[in-house]
Amino acid sequence: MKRGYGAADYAFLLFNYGFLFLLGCLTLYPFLNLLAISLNDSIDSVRGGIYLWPRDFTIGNYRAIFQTDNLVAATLVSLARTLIGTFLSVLCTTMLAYTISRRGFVLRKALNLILIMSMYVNGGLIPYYLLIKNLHMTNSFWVYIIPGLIGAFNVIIIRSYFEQLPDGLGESARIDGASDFAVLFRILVPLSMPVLATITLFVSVGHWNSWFDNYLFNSKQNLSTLQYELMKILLKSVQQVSTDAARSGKVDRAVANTLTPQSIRASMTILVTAPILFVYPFMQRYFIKGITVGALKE
Amino acid sequence: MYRKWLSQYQLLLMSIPFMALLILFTYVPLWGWIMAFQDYSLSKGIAGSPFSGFSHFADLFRDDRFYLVLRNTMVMSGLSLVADFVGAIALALLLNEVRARFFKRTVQTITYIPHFVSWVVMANIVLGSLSPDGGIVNDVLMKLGFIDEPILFMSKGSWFWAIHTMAGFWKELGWSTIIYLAVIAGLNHDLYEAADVDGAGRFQKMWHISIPGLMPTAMLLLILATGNLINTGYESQFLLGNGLNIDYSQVLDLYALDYSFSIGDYSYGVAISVFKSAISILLVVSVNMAARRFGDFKAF
Amino acid sequence: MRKPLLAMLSVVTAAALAISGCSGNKNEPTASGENGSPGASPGASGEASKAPDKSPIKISINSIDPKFSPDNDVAQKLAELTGVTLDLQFVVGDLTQKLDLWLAGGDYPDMVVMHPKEVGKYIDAGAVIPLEDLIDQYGPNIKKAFGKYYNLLKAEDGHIYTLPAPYLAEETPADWEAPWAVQYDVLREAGYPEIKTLDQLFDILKAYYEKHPTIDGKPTIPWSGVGGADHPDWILNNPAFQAAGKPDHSWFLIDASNNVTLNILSDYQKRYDKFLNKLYLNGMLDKEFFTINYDEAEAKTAQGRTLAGSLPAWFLKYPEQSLRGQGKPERQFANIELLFDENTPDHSNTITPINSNNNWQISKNAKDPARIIQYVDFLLTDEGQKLINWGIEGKHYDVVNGKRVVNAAWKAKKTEDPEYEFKSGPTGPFYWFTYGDGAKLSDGDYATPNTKDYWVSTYDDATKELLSKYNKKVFSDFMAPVERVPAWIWQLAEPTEGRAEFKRVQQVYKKESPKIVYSKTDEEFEANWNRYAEEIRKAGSAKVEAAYDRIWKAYIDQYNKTMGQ
Repeated sequence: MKRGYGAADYAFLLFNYGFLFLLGCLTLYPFLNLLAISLNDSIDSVRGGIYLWPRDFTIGNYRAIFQTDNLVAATLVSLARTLIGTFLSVLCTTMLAYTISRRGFVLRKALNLILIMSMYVNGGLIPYYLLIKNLHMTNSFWVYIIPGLIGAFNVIIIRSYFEQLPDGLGESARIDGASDFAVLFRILVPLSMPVLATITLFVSVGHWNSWFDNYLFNSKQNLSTLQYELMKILLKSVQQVSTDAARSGKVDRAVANTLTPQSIRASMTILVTAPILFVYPFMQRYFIKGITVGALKE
Repeated sequence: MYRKWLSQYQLLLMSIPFMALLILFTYVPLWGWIMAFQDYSLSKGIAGSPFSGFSHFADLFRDDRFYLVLRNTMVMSGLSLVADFVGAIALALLLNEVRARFFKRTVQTITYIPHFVSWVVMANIVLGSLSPDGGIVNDVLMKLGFIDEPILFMSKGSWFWAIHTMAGFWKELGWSTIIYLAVIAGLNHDLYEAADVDGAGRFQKMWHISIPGLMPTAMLLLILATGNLINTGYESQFLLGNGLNIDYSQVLDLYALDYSFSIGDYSYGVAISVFKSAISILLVVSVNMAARRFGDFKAF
Repeated sequence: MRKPLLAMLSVVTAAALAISGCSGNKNEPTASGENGSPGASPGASGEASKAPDKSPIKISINSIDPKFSPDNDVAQKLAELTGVTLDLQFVVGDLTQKLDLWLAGGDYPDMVVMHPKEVGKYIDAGAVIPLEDLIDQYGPNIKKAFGKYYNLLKAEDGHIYTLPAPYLAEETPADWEAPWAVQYDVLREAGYPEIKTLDQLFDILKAYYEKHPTIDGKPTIPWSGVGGADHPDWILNNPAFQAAGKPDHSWFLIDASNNVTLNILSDYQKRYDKFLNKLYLNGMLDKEFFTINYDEAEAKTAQGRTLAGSLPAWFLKYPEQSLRGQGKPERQFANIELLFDENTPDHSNTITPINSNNNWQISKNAKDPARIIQYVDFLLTDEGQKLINWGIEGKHYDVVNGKRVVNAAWKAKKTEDPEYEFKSGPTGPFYWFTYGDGAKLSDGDYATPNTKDYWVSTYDDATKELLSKYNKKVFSDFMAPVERVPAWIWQLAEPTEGRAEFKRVQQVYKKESPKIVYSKTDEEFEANWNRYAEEIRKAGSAKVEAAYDRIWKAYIDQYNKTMGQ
């Protein structure tokens, strides 16, 4: 017999929806604010006062960004690195996580320890740089993929999830002669969609947003990532280099399309965040109730 | 003995190559720690720099500023940890109670947007809102009659911790919730149905199913996060800090930046890094042991 | 949420970027003018130089300005004339860190551009090569350009590693401005008075503030500043020595006997703090003076509510544009010269033999250093100067009545589209070798388009009107007559000792100065100041002063020897 909705329930629902709505507004504000600024004339934005709506509408900020050379190429590079990097990383991470989730695995304790400790130690930038250099990975696409292939944190999260799945699943399959690969990919993975989707999200966002490895290792233009190119655009506006427009504030005609750092930051954030906002809802379907564990009766 | 290894060859195949990669990129560079025990100079390199023993560590522990900075670091980390933890779980539970799919998905997506907004922008928004000169917080407080004069929020050192924690909370809450939602989504649906049949109410279901279901993941994340208490980064503290609140806003990473890397003193910076790793490992191991003993959870 | 290691690193460097991005320009006059002694004939000039090799060659060079377009018209012309194309390697992010990494890994570009403070470690590691022999062989114009200052280029070990830009202007560059900004409207209402001291400014500000407590509905801010949160030297240290009429040695004061002391401990600093205190006690100091960040400072200024302050021209650029756009040109700022006392000798307008912060060094990775020297040699000739400053005749400039004038069509186009200047015009890393604004070539005409006439042609009416009331043509006319000093101390390589102490001193300064300014009574002020001075001394200020004193005196020695004194 299912309980019907009582008064307390309605009170809670009211509170919940209300609270979540408020929270949504509060967290949406920065984004709307940035959107407004990015669509506002940059010189007009200087004096502040833009909150949710542009005061002097223009698409000039975006136009200026899109007119940058190399932006398309950089987007492709970022796309390639995100797709390839995420796929490989999630694949390898999952395999590793599977192994250390198996109770009888000989290396289980050792690998666990190594993994966890690795999250808290850092040798510094110079040795890391020298390592990459010695591996001849500087100025290459693979420096984006390989060093970051295994994220210890991700491994542990997936491992923990696997450990919580009933033991019997794997056991019965192995008794039937299935290989570890089969157990992992045919049985465990389909049941782990929520956590795998989460890790995929984390890794892909990391790839999409990264520019630091670009700064460190790659100087060739054709290896620039999107974020790196956008950073360049930001830097262009911040640098006060000795040109006429920069030195004097007294130029007569208002210089059209001057990009202030504030406007660029706003537009950059929108450009980088928007794709993620589109992708995430598609991933959300994996967060809905997972497949029922029906293979075993406990 | 070898037979056991041989029988697990598939597991070994799936693990050893990847661990090798991890060890290569994480542990191999640790040879750089030797810089902490030298008077490292870039031009001389590791081979040519003179050995200096523990002198840099001694300098670190002798500096009064270090203890102040350490205090700020641990307090702010601690506050963030608690806020994040409690908040993320609470939010996940609340969202789980929402039946309307569209609303649920939308709110969830919106809440993690601030995660993608850089701290530079967030700091501007925070500073702007708290400004005594037209900031919205002061405006509202004055309109409601709570105060007569605007409050200079950013001039009050002791308030910095609260302001910083709230700003960080606002920024990261939604993103931290994602993983808890994923866990809840993976919980056995049958349990909820069975509870319904037994006449369980909303909160009872939460208390007996959702929360225990989240606990293993939550505990794991908590343990891992404890190890990072000392690694705060410095971007947010730098952007929100100023001369008036510096005694509360300066954290270890900022101190390291000021007194080592920005003045070219790598040895000091690496010494701080070694110190931080030692503390992190100590924290993680301790908390793990405690969790094992008292709660039957463990990260390793 | 925990992220993989790389992501944590990215936060660290994102911050580094933010920091380096925010640091902008200090009080340094923007890297413009250098003075070259006029009259070096282009190309081979007989005697010791060989005929220049013009085969195509690519030289890699680091660049932190992404605006540079590697193949604009002038770059192409230079390639035609010298065979050299520059392969720009942009460093987006922390340059110091990148330089360090390059040094550790040995993969620096052919030409390394860096600030004097970074050069030391490269020299020590043997990563940059000595140049004097090459200059003797291939760089006669370089020698000519530096003239009597040539030997100043030598490092401590007697070799020359650095190719800076010579600075031989004899007049103040036309676009330099004094540091004290006052709104046009304030001056107008006071009847365009000739004010010379801070106290006089205080009086007219007070009068204006009483009449106008709000502007456009928002409270007026009589005195503000930029840098409160992260660059306290902009609001306290710099104005202090400026008001004292001292040259810009950043944190230091140098007396007639070349002794170096910290400005922030001096009476000038105390006096300026007192001035701010006076403003504070009269309710005229911006409430957020010590907490404001850059964007907010811009916003307030652009709202027209700030009446005055120590506001540099590069900061005012966007706010003034905004004000003009809002139809409020009277809220723009006049940058005038003010001192503590009217009769103090004013040595604040100075130029030095060398005028660049980011100098060129040739690394040992360069395969053909001789070609590089030849390239720089060409840049320092009249023909080279015309190319890198004015551009291509007919396209960027015309010769009208024997004088060079910026081409009107090009000027219009680049005003429309700021990017165009970089795609087409005389911009690029080579422009660092300009002789400088105010310098002249052997034909008697200016080396760069940065002339008074040019600026006047860009002024709006409100500006012209204000200047006419003071009988000035451009704002640089307000400044004291220009003087030469041997160097600015911040141009020298930093001393290696005392760095940690210096940081500590700066932090004490940052923390304690607000308390001084916010003192309620004179006694409190004295007490706060004394405590502040005591704290600074405890932090090791003596060591800092000694360190900088040493390098300064060493430089003066070298300078005197070079000048034959």
